[in-house]
Formats: sequence, C-alpha cells, structure tokens
Amino acid sequence: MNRKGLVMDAVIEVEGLVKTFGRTRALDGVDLRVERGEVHGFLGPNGAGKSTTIRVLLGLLRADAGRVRVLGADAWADAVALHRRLAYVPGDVELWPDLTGGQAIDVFARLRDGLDERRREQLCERFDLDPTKRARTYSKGNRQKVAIVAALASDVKLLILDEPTAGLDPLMEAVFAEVIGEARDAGATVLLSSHILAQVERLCSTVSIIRDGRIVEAGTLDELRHLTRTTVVADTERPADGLAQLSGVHDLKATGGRVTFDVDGEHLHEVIGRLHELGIRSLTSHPPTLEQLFLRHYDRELTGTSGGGGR
Amino acid sequence: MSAPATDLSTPPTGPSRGATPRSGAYAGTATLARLALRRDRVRLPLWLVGVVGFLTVSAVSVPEVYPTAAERQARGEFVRSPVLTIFSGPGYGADDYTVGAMVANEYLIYGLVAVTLMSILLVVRHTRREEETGRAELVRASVVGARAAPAAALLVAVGANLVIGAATALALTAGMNQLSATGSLVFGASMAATGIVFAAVAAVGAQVTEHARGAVGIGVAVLAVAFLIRAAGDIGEGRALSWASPLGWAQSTQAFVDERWWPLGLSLAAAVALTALAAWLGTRRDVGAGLVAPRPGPARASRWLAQPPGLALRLQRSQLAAWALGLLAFGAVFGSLLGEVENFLADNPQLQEFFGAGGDRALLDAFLGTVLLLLALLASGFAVTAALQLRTQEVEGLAEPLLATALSRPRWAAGDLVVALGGGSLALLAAATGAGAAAAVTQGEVSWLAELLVAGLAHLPALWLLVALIVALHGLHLAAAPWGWVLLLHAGIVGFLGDTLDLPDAIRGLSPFHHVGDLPGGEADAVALVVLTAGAAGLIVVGLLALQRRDLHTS
Repeated sequence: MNRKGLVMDAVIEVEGLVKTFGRTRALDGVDLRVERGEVHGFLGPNGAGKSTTIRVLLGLLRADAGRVRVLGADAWADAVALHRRLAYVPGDVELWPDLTGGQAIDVFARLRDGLDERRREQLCERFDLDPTKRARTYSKGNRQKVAIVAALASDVKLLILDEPTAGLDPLMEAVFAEVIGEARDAGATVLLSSHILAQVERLCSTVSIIRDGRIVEAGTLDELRHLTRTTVVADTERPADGLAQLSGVHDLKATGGRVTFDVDGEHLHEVIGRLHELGIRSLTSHPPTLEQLFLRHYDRELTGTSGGGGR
Repeated sequence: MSAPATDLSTPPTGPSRGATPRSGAYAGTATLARLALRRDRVRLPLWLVGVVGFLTVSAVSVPEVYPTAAERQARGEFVRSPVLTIFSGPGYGADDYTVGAMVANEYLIYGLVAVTLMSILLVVRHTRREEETGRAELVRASVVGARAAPAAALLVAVGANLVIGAATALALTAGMNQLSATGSLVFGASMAATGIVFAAVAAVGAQVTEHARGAVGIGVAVLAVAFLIRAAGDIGEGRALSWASPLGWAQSTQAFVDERWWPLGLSLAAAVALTALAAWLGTRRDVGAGLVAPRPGPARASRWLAQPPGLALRLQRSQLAAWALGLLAFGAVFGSLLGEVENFLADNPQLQEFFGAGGDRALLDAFLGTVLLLLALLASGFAVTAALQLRTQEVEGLAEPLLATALSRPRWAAGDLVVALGGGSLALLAAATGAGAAAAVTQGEVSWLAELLVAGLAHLPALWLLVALIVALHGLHLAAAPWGWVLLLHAGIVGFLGDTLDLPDAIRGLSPFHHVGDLPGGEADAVALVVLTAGAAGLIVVGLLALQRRDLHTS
C-alpha cells in the first residue's frame, strides 16, 4: 500500500477484468480507474455488467482474469480488511423481514466496526426513515434508505453505490445528492453506478461507460462533451441553408427563418462565425446532455433510458 | 386507460360495495391452477413416483420377508404391542394377519404422512409463499379474484392426491395377487382423503401467518398432533381418541380386512369445513398481510445482534422454540407410554419368551430405542432447516450486503452453523429430557431420566454430521445443499424400515444414526461416536474453506 510514491492516487484500479458465467461472458476485459476524492459515474444499460463489476470489486465474485485493486489491496484476497474502509449500497436491498430498519442499520454498521451515532440519527431524520418499523412493511425505497443510512453512518474512504436511488422519490433523491456531496467534501471517493443520466450529470465529475462487458468511454464529463455535438437553434436574417455544406454540421433543418442543427465541438467556432455573417436574430445552443452521450453509445437500447433521464 | 370512462358509463345503481367483492372472487382460478401445475411439473411427478414406488416396493417385500402364514401370525401378535401400534396402525386383522392386513396396518401410515407433507408444502407454496415474495401482488392486480389463488392451490392439491391415491390402488392390485381390488381402492382413497384434509389445513395456516415457513409449521404441527392423538387412541381402550384424528379416520377404513368407506366421509366433511374457514379468514385480511398485524419494534440493535450467531438466533428463535417445546412434549408423551408397554408384556408371555432372558426390559429398550431414533430424526429436521438457512439467505440476497461489510465468509456461515448445531442439540436433548422425565415419573424410577439423557447425547454426533454435510455441500456447490434432506429421509427409512425391507448393511451404514449403538439399555459405540464427531468437524472445515473459494450467488 505504498500510495505516497504514486503520482496519481487511484482508489479503484481494474485492468483487463474478465468474468464468465458458464458460456456467458459478462465482463470482457473491463478497465476502470477511479481517483481519490472523485465521484465517478459508472454508466450503462441494464445487463451491461455494472453490478457484476461491482461485485468483483467487493470480492463477492472472483475475477477469471485481470487485475482488481481497491484502496491499494487485492479485492478478492483482502476482501474482509478492505470492507472496513468501504461501504456498499446495492440496487435491490433485501432485509430480514423480522428485524426493524434500525436494527438492520446497526447490524451492517457494526459489522463494519464503525458507527457514527450522531450521523446515524441525522441521516434517519433527513431521509425521513422510521427505524422502528419491521423491514417487511418497508417499500423498496425505504429498504434502500436503510442501506444508504447504514453506508453513510460509517466513516469510510470509499462508497460503492449500485443504482442506489432506483426506489427513491425526487425529494429523497435530492437529499441523497446532498449527502453524497457532503461525503465527497469530507474526502470520500464514490463509485456511483446508474442508468439515470441526470443524476450522474449532477453528481459526478468523471464517468466510465460500460456496454456489453467492456468500457466504451471513460474520462471527465468535459472531455466526453468534446466528443459530442452541440445543438444550435438560430433565427437569421438571411437563409442559413448553406451551413449544411460545412464540415461538422449534422441534421440541419430549416423552417422559415429558423435553422436547427448539431455541430461537432471542434467546428463550433467556424460555424458560429458563418451564422454571424448571416445576421443572428436569436441564438440558443446547449451542450449535450448525458442522455445524448448515452444514446450515441447505446443506440440499440433506446427504451428505458429516456424515462430515467427525465427525472 | 379507459377505466374511468367505463365507470362513468355504468349507471350508479344497486347497493354500495360491501365488505366482500360482489363477483369474480374466483376469476382466474383455472389459469392459476395451470400455472401451479407448470411450476410443479417436476415436483409432483417425483412425489407420485416416490410415494407409489415406496408403498409398492414395501408391499411386495412382505411375502418375501414373511413367506409363511405362521411367520405372519407371529408378526401379528407383535403388531398389537404398543411399540408397533404407536408407529403403525390400530392392528385390524391381527388375528388373521394376512399380507393385506400387514400392508394396511404397517405401511398405510407412511403413505398418509407422505401425502400430508406433499399437500401442506404444495398449498403453502402456491398461496402464502407467493404473497410473501410479492408475486401475488402482481397476479392479483390482473383479472384475478380474491379467492382464486387458494382455490387454484386446493384444486391442484385435490388433483394430485386423487392421482396418487388412484396410482397407489392400481399399483397394489396389479403388483400383488394377494391384494384385492376393493382393498386397494380403499387404501388409495384413504390416502387421497387425508392428503386433501391437510391441504385444507395448510390453506387455513396460510391465512394466519405472514410467512410461508410459519404456515408450513402450522400444517406440520397439526400433523404431529394428529399422529399423537391416533397413537394414544390406538393403544387405548376402544380407540375412542383415534376418532379425533384425520389419520385415525383413514386407518379406520380397514383396507384388506373388512373394508368400510364411511370414515372417509369424516375426512371430506373436515376438508369442506376447513376450506370454508380458510375462505372466510381470507376475506378478513389484506394481500400480503397475516391475521396478526406487525407492531413497531426496537429502533436499535442490541450488541449481540451484530454478531453472526446472535443474528442467526434472532432470525430462527421462534422456530427453535417451537421445535424444542414440541419435541419436549412429544418425548414426554412417549415416555409416559412406558407403563402401557409393560402391561402389554405382562399379558403376552410368548413375547417375553421372544425377548429372551432380558424379558420385559428388552422390550422396553426396543420401544425406547425406536422412540429416541424418531425424536433424534425430528430434531435433525430442525437442524437441517437451520443449516439450509445459509442457502436461503444467500439466494434471497441477504448474504450479499453482510459480506460487503468486514465479515468473512466463514464467520458469516458460523452464525447459522451455530444455531443448527446448538439448536438441533438443544431440541434433541429437550426431547430426551421429556421422554426421560415422563418415564421416570410414570415408572417411579429416577434412573430413566439419566438413561434417556445419555441415549439422547449419544445421538448428537449423528445430528452434527448431517449439519456438517449440508455446510460442506453448501460450500462446494450452492445447489447441492438441499440434498441434506435426502440423507435425513434415508436415515428415517433405514431406521424404521431397515429390517422389514431387509436392506443390505452397506445401505444402512450410510445413515449416521445406524452407528450410534443400542441405546438405551445397550452400549454406545464410543469409537463410532468419535469418528462421527471427527467426520462432522472435517466436513465443516471443508465446507468453510470451499465457501471462501467460490462465487457468491448473485441475482
């Protein structure tokens, strides 16, 4: 664990991770790097391999090939020692029906050897969770709150969150975003898996996109935006149809005096220059939403993502 | 959706909605029944083949093991002793103990218990289990009536019991010319009727508790009570008490001796009454809820709850308490029968001769040996379910968040392991204490308590081995763990039917209980007990090491 010598301080380092289940190759050479202190979005549609990757990181599944280091230790061999320094929130939280939510929180946190009593109380209050109810009476969202409170009430260096807000209402999702921001400010590193793009966009500075068991794109949100197109809507004095011939302009539509088109990032400067020459009456442009990023990579899986992104 | 429009177009005539839905309570029953058949397409044929096969093989072996009428008559004398009466039947036809009388007296009870268990598990699986998992909610949200699920489960249970009863009747008549068609039909009908009664019992149980395990527990408890009532009734004067037990009704049909159908009328009446009760209870609760509403609990966990054994004990404590108390009572009932056994012996000088120099003591020991084996197997039943919680917790996703904390896999598994070993031992010793204390009181000899406790202790290593085997199977391969049940079933067959079926030693030796020794009365096989204990320890180590090497089950 000689971390001081490294230039970059990786909390999660995965190289060439392969995991097969029978004939299915669930992970086909995943590379994932999460630096200290960042909130890293882990994006992908259902079945892409997000949860499998996370379970390998947790030492619940054994890698067939590849290197998996978490907080400088081996994810499989050092799992128990590692788990003292990380906390996990699964996407589908199962609890013991006979126990209350409060009891479940205590069991999880104490097994990790660390429970901040004051934080536990605050979190229960902020998430509006009644800890005296039996788990069997909890909704999916309430079970998820139990796991979130248990994870955040411990003082850990790494939070691994697998679609943690799937059952939360928008109000609670906002509380969740707040709490994650506080954890980041306190120095924790966060790996947040999600297919809810707006959430990742709001919380994360860096993103890895996984598809069919491979990372197809990774970098900061800014870097990824460079790769994509900006949407421009403009009203001009003279017809702007000619813009369609410029390189880097796509999907141009002209109706009356208005043009709508997408433009590649590196050509934005010259295209706006030409628009200026045509006399701009009004101009709106917006950077690509993660949703657009997503659709570019997952055009086969259009369904299910747009609904999530609209929350 | 067009639902609001439809509502508006319907004129608001007629009375407002009452407590029960106006119509369609049974909508979807046929579809659900087909779904249940599809889901059980492997299970039910296995029960059919298992039950019919076992009964046929047992029946066919009777003329082989008892080839002459004289040998059968000697068996007939023995059958009237409380020892056999308790575990088999009331002894109809013992004066002229034909092959048929023997089959009805000594094997019908196994068929009854088998179809009973099948019916309980089947009905709970398709009613309460569906509600517990939340699948019922999805089903009920479609065009499915409030009573469709229990009705479908009961329909399938009735069908399965009729098929098994008919197949048994056919197999017995076709397989053996000593058995009459009428007798075989009565035999099969008795099984079917009893299975149907307990399907209805399970339907009631499924209304009361929120958990499938609890509903099964209610069914099995009713079976145990029914068994005890008929056992006590059959050794008593005139069998009066046996008429209070569904098992007693079935055995009163006197198959192959002097057949009568009317006792099965009691079974049908009970089944109808219980079904009506279940239907009535069903209208008084919400989907997913039991009749007993949950109350708020503690907001904080105690220290010991965050230890795996504490957590496992908390989750299994009600089952453990029920088993231990039930076995204590069960043991006490058997222990108190010691006097009856002695009286019977005093009336039968030939039997005293049969047992030789040991005289009455030998018969008492034979009786108590059988009782202890039964109690040990029942306690093992708890131990097996407790150990299989490892698998259940893993499959249901409860192990995953725990193992994502600083909890190693062996420490996690140690929780259920401790409850299975400790709880199983406690249940067995409770049973032995019950039997010993009751024997000591009724016989006026305190030494019985010590003797039966020692005999109970001697059975512990065999129970531990069963638990250890499940831990090893679970560690090596998740899906293999339930095979522990097969080993328990095998131990039961070897223990109770090993002699009658004339099983070879190699097969008997596979049962850990076969090596315990002749207790009480005889000597415990000390070497065997040490080997069993060491084997259990070894298997546990194997299981825990293997568990660390494999992937956790993930959904």
